[in-house]
Amino acid sequence: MEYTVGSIAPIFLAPVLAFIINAFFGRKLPRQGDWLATLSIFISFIFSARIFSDFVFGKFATDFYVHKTFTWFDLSHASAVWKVDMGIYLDNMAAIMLLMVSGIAFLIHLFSTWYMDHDEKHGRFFVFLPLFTSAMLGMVLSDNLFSLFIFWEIMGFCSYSLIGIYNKKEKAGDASLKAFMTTRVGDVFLLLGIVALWMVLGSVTYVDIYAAIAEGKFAGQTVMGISFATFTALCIFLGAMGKSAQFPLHVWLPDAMMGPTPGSALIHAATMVTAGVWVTLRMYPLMVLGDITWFIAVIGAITAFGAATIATVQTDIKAVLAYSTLSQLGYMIMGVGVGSYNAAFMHVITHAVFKACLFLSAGSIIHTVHEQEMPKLGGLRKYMPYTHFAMMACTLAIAGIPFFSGFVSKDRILGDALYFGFMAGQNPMLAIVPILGFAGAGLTAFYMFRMMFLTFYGENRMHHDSHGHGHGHKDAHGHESHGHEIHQEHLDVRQNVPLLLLSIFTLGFWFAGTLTGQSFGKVFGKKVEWFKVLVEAPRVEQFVGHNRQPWGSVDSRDKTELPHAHYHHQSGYAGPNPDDHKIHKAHTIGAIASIIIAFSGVFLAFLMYIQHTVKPWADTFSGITTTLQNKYYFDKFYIDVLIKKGLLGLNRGLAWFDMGVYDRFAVDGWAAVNRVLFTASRWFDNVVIDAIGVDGTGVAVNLFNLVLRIVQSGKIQFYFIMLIMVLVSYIWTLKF
Amino acid sequence: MSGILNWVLWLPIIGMVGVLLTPKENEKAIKLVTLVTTAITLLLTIVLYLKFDTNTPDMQFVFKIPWIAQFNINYSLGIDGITLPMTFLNALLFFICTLSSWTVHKSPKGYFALLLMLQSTVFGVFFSLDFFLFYVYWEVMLLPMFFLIGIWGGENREYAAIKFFLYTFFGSIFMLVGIIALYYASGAGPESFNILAHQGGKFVNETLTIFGHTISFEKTMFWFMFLGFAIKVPVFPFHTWLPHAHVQAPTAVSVILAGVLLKMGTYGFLRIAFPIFPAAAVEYSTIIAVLGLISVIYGAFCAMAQDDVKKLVAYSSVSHMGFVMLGLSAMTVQGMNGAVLQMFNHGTSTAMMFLLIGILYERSHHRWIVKPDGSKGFGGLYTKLPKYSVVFIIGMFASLGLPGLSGFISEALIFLGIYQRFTTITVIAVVGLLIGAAYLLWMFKRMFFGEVNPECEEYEDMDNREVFYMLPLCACVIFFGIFPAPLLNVMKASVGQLVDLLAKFQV
Repeated sequence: MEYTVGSIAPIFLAPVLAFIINAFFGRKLPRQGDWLATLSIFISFIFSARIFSDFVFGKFATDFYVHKTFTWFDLSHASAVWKVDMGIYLDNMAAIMLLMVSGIAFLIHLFSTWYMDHDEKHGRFFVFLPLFTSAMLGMVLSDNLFSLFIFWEIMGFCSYSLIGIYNKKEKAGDASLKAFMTTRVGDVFLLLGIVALWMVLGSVTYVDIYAAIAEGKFAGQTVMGISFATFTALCIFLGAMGKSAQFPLHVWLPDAMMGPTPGSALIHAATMVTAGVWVTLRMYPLMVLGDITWFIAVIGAITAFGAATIATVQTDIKAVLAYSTLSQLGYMIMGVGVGSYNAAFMHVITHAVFKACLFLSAGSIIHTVHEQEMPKLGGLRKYMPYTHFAMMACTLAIAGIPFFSGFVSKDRILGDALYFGFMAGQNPMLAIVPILGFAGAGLTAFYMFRMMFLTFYGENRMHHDSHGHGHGHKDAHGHESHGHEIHQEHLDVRQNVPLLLLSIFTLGFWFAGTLTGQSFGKVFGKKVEWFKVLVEAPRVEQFVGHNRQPWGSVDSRDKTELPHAHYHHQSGYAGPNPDDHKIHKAHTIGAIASIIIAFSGVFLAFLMYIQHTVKPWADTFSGITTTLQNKYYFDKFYIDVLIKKGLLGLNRGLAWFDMGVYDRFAVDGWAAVNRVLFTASRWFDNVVIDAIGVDGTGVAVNLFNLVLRIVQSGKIQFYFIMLIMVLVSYIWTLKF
Repeated sequence: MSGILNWVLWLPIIGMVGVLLTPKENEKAIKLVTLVTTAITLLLTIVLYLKFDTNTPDMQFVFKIPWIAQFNINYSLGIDGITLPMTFLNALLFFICTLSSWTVHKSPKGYFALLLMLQSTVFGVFFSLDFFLFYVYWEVMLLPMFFLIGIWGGENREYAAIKFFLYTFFGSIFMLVGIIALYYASGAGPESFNILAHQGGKFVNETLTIFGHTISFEKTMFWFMFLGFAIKVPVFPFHTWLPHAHVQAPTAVSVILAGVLLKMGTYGFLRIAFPIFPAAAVEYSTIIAVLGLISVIYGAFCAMAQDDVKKLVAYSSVSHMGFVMLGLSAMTVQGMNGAVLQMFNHGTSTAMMFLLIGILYERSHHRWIVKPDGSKGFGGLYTKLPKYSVVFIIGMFASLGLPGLSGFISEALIFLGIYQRFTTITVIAVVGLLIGAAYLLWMFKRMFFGEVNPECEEYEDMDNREVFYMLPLCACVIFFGIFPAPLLNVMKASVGQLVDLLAKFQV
C-alpha cells in the first residue's frame, strides 16, 4: 500500500477546483455548475473512502500515520533559519473524519441540486458550498495548528457568505455578521494560542506539540502569571468555543439558519461546528496538561442542557434543530472534558450523520410545503412518507434510543460523565456535569419527539389557515408561496435518496460494530469494536523524535514495521485507569439511566402532543417559557448592552474625543498659539521696536512676521515657491 | 543595469513634461500620456524585480555621481529588498490611479502633471541613498500633494491641505536637524550625507552638549528622526491629519496617500532611524510598541464610530499602520518581515478600499453610511451592484486579514514577531483584529444588505475600465495571500541584515 501526496491531495483539491471554476465560469455552465461541485465532492469521497478502508481493514498498525510536509515560505537569512512548513497529517481519526465530511457533504450537495433549483442564488450557493467543504477537508488534513487556523477562517468566511446569501433580507445581514463576529471572538484567541505555542515551542505541528508535552518543555513557563500550558490550552479552547458555539459564544448558531437549509445542514453537521471539537480533540493532551478539562466539561454541560431547554419552546422546525445542534455540541465538548475521547469523537460522527439528515429532512418539508412553523404543520406523515421515515430514524438516534447511533455515542459520554462527576474523586461541584448531561438527554428526547409529533402526526393544520396571505414570508429560502396544496411525495433521487442513505447510518451497529477481520483478530486475539481500536487519545511519548516525510515521498510502511501497536481501553487520557471497574459500573448505571430518561422524554412528548393529556409548557409555566423564548436574554444582553451601549458608546466617545477635543485643541491649538505669537510680535514690532528704533532687530522680527502671516493666510504656495527658489539659487551659487 | 533606476525615477518627470506640452483642451491626450508613462514605469519595475538578486542584503542597481561636491552631496540611488516591494507598489498604484482618474475633468493638465511629479518624488524617497537627496524628495513630495488635495479635493480641502502640509513639515524640520547633526557628527566628510555609511550604530557613544547638559547624541537624534517619520506613518498621537486629508482628497490621491505615502514613514524607520541609531531603537522599542498598540486599538475604535465610509477607512489605516509599527518594534525576523510585508499588503488592500469608495462616490456623490439626519445612506448595494460587491468583499476581507488573502500572513507574522518581545502587548493587540473585522463587516452590512435604497436604484455597476483597474489589485491580494514567498524572498535578506544589526544591541 503506497501513500503519496497524489493519493491524498485530491480530497482537498477537487472541491477547490470546483470552487474556482464555479466562481469564474459558473454562470456559463449548464445548471450553473452544481453538478461540477457535486462531482468534485464525490471525487473527494472516493479518495477518502479508499483511505478509510485501508485504515479500517487493517492495512496498517493502529498507530500508523502519514505526515508529509513542504515549505510554504522561508524567512531564513544569513544568521537565522525560520520557515513555515505546511503538511498533511493523516491518522485514523483523520481517515474517519474525511470519510464523514466528504460523504455527508456529497449527499448535501446532491440534495441541494434539488433544493436550490430555480432559486435566484443557485449559482452563488454552489460557489461557496465546495469551498466550504474543501476548507473543512483541508483542516482535517492539516498537520499543524497554523494551517488549521487558515482553513478554520476560510470556513468562517464561507459560513458568513452562506448565511447572508439572501442579501435582500436585513436579517440575513444581521445573522451573517453575528456569526462571523461571534466566532471571531474565539478565533483571535485561537490565533493568540497558536502564536504563543509557535514562539515558545518553535513549531505548531501536532506531533511537535505532542513531543514537547512528552519532553516536558512546558514545565516552568508562564504567561502573564498563569502557566503556559493553561494559557495556550485556554486560548485554543476559546477558539473551539466560538466555532463549536459553546456557551457563552453560542448565540450565532441559531441565527445561522437564515441561509438555505442545505447550507445549514453543512454548517451544523459536517463542517464548521465540528471544527471546534476537532481542535479540542487534536489538542487534548494540551488540555490535560493545562488542567482545564474540568472547565471544558462544565462549559459542555451548560451548553448541552441550556440549549436543550430553549429547544423545547421553539416553534420553527429549523430553530429546534439549531438548538439541538448546540446541545449535541455541548455533549461532544463535555465528552472531551470528562475524558471520553473516543465517544466524543464518535458523537461527532454519529451526530453529523443524523443532524445532516434532520436538516435535509427539514429542507425537504420546507421546500414542499413552504412552511416551517410547526404549529401550522402536522399530519405530514401521509404526504411525505420517505421524509418521515428518514426523520424518524434520526430522531430516534438523537434521542438516544437503544440500537441507534446516538445512543451508542451519547451513552458512553454520559457514562464517563457519571464517573467524572461522582466517582473520580473530583471536586464535588463537578457533579453538575453528569446531572446537566442526563437532564439534557431527557429534554432532547422530549423536544425531538415534540417536533416529530407536531410536524408529522395529528391533523394537518395548514388548511385551516386562510388562503389569502402567503406563508412564504417565513420561508428562509426565498421561494414564493405556491398555495397550500401538498403534493404527495414521490421517491426523488436528489430529494429522498440522500435522506434515506443517511438514515441507514443512524443505526448504532455501524459504529459499535465489531470487525472480525484477520488483521484485528491476530493483533488482539478477540473481537473488538473498530471505532475503539482506531480512535484513542494521542499517546504523546510516541511522537518524541518522530521523522516527518518529505512531500514527494512514497509512504508504504505497513504494520509489521510498528510491532508495538497495542490496544488500550482507556477512558481518560492518563493511560490504563486503575478505576476500570468503577468506570464499568458508571457505564452500566449510565446506560440504564439514559434509557429510562430517554423513554420518559418520548413519553412526555407523546402525552403532550399526541394524547393531549398533559398541557404543553407554555400553558403551565409562562414565566419560564418567556425566558426560554428569549433564549435566556443572552442575545439581547450582547447586542443591546455590550455592543450598542458598551462598545459603540466607547467608540463614539473616542471618535468625538479624537476630532472634537484632541484634534481641535491639541493639534489645531497650535494655530492659536501661532496667532498669539503673531499678534505679540506685531505688537512688539510696532510698539517696542519702532519706539526704540533698533532697525536691525526690527528687520528680523518683520521677517518672522511675514512668514507667520503667510502661514496664517494659507498662502503656502507662495511660501513653497520661495523655499524652492531659495534652495535652487543656493545650490546654483554653490556649484559655481 | 545601474541606469535603470534613473529611468524609473525620471520617466514620470518626462511624462510630466509631455503632459505640460500637450494642449489643455486635449484631455484624452493628457490622460494617455500619463497612462503610457505609468505603464512603462510599471514594466520597468517588473524588470527590476526580475533582475533583482534576492540573495544579497546589499543595495543593488546603485548609481552614484557627485551633485554638490562642496558639501559632499551626491546623487546616489539604489534599492534593496525593503524598497523593491515599495517600488513595485508605487508603480502599480500610480498606473491604477491614472485609470481611476479618467473621470477627472477639472483642469486635467495640472492634475496629471502633479500626479506624475508625485510619483517621481515618491520613487526618489525610496531610491535615495544620500541624505540630502532624500530630504529634497521628502519635502518636494509635499508640493504636488498639497495642490492635489487643495485644488481637486472636497469641500473642506484647503483646511485639510494646509493641515497635511504643516503637520508633515513640522515633522520634517526635526528630521532636517537630525540630518545636519549627523553630517557634522560624522565629520562633514565625503560620506557624511551617505545614509548607508551612517548605519551600524556608529553614534552610540557620541554626546551632545546643550545648555551645559551632556546628553546622548544617539537618543536625541533618534527622537528627532522618530518625530519626522511617526507623523508620516501616522502613529498615535500624530494621526489626526490623516482623516482630514483622506476625506478631502480626490480618490486617486487618497489611494496614493494610504497606499505609498504612509509607507514612507515606516520606510524611514527601516532605513534611517533603526539602522543608524540601533541602540536607541532597541532601548525605546517598548515605547514604539505601545504607540503602535494604541494606534491599532484606538484607530479601530474610532473607525467603528464613523458614519463616513472614507473616514472609516482612513482610521482603519491608522489601525493597520499600527500593526506595522508593532512589527518594527518586535525587531525579530518574523516581526520585521511581517511589517515590510504588511506595508505592501496594506498598500494593495487599502488602495482597493479607497478606489471602491471612489467608484461609489462617483455614483452617489456622498459617502454617508448613515446620513447626518439619521437615514441610511446606502442599502442593498449587493443586489444593485453585484460585480462591485464581489470586488468589495475581496478588498474588505483582505483588509481584515482573512487567511487566503494577503493581509493575514503579514498580521500573523507580526504577531509571531511581537510575542517574543512583548507578550502582554500581543494579548491586547488581538483586540485590534477583532474590532478590525467588526467595523468593516458592520459597514458592509449597513451598506450592502437589505432592500435596495430608492436612492441607489439608478446606480450602475462597475464598467469595464473600473473592472480592469481593480483586477491587478484583486490578483495581488489573492496571489500574495496564497503565495507570499515571491515577496518574502525579495525582502528577507535585507530585513534579516537589519534584524541582525538590532540583535547586537539587545541586552
